[in-house]
Amino acid sequence: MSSYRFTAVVARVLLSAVALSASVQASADDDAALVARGKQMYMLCQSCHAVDEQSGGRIGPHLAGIYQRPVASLEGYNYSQALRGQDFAWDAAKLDTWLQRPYDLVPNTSMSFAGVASEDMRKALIAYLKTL
Amino acid sequence: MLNRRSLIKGAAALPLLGTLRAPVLRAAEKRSVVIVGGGLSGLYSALLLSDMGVDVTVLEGSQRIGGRVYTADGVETRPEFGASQIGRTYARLINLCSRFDLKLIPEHRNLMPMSSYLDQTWVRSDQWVDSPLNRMVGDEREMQPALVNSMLLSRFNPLKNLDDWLNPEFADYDVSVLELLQRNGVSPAALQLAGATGDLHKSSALALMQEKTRGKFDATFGNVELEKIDRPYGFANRKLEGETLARINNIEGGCSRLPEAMVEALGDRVHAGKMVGEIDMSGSKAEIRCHDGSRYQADYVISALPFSTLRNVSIYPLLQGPQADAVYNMGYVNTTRAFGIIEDPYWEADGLEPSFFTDETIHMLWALEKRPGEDKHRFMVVFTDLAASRIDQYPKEQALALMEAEIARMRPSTKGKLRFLDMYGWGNNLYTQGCRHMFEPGQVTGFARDMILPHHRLHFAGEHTRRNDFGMEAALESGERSALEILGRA
Repeated sequence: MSSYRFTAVVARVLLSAVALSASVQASADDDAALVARGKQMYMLCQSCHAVDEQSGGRIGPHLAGIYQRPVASLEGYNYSQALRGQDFAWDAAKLDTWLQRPYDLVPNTSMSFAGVASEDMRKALIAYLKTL
Repeated sequence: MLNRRSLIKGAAALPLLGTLRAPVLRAAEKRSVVIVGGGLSGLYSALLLSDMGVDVTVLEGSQRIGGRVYTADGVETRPEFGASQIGRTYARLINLCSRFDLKLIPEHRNLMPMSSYLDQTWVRSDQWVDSPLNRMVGDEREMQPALVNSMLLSRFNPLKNLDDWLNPEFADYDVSVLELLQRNGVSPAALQLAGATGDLHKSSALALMQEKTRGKFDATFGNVELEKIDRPYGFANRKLEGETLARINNIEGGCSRLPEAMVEALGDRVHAGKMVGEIDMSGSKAEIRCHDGSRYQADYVISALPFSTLRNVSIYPLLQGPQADAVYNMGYVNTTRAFGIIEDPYWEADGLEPSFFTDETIHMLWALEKRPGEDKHRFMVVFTDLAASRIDQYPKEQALALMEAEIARMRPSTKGKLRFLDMYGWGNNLYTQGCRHMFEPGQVTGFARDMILPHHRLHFAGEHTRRNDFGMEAALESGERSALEILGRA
């Protein structure tokens, strides 16, 4: 383990210039990986929320265009009074608080969700939600 | 192609490019997960992991898959021995039924009005409030005898959000139902009735309040006003305006159709008759050893067993602290029910109501309205908690004979009118050892939060590990959580 770490540190120093020059491409790869991971995690949401407007029939509102969508703004969805009384748009910060524990953002919301404790996991999920 | 050199480069480059791991790209080798327990939670975690390309194996001790979902297909009227009720906010369950083309139908188990037999005297529900048998005081008197325990718990329930029960702020409610009721000045007569309709000593009031809160969530979801209870056990089961589902739904053809469909989707990855005796994680993989000598190796294990049976499995490294306390000491309670057909409406002869509650050996008889297409009403004799443990002491034939004789003794009009078909007591089921978990006083604060944390390569699912949900939906909630935990760490 320690020799592996030592090799890795040496390699990191030697490769840093190469890595930096490749950072634009790598960052795109990273984003793709993050989105892919978020898509896996969407398993937590799928039972209540469709990802498009067509495949309805779930008990929660669909999430197409959720990023930057004003809160409780879908026509025809029966939001809780608690959510209707809010005034914000779903940006990354709001989504992050919401996904950690919805009641902390909007007490008495009618979304039943135990929350995602891991910050990394929430980031991945938000990265995916941005693509919807 | 990956070789050691490029792996090292990758490891070196990652911290510069971003700190997030990307398991999706690295998952060249297929991870393996053994799921112990083939009930709803185990099957759901298997299905979700399998959907994500994980190699899963489900080991079920019994020859029957489905755990506490158990439709008695061989019995006339096809009763549900186990879970049956699907609330309109059971999103995972509703979605899963849709995936397998299973139809949800309104539950036809509407309970007919309920009289009571207390102190060897009959009283109709519409005469209860003013009856001399009703020795409760003030507005307590409005509560029907069979509902006293449940209604008092609702009255004193301070929880609003579904996860409040885990908030230390409410630790003061993690006491016996008796202590809660006494603290609130409930009359001795109400205490006695509460004791006849539910456990007073061994159940945490806080844990029961979680269920009340989830029930209220289901009833009020979509800005629906909570109605006054209009049945002996809750509300009339009707569809709400504009809704496709009723308040309470069943799966057409029986709830067992769901685990069957899940097994079909999982194919040969589900093994019945594999009782696990040991989970050994002292090596580089987990090894699962069955009673029949077979062994399985896996990267991770999910226990989807109730703690009442997981406590019979040796686990290495040993469980510690609150988690050990949970597995070895969590309370379990029983429910026993007998099922049958009402051949003739006996209530027309004695002027009492069809259903009844008693403070004797027979706990309750529920007369159930006939379903569409049926020409006779059905009944269930229902025993919970202590009443169930009492009747479970008898072999089946003896228990059925005792029930029939006791019911006829108390209510002669039923003689020859009740045809018993079968009975089922979950306390006598070797693979569950109880009908459900029940946190004892102090156990919610003692271990409810931490008991679900992974132990080495072992993760925990099962209804008893729920956070927000109830019933079958809680089983699915836990299966989903454990599947996600594994995806997150791989």
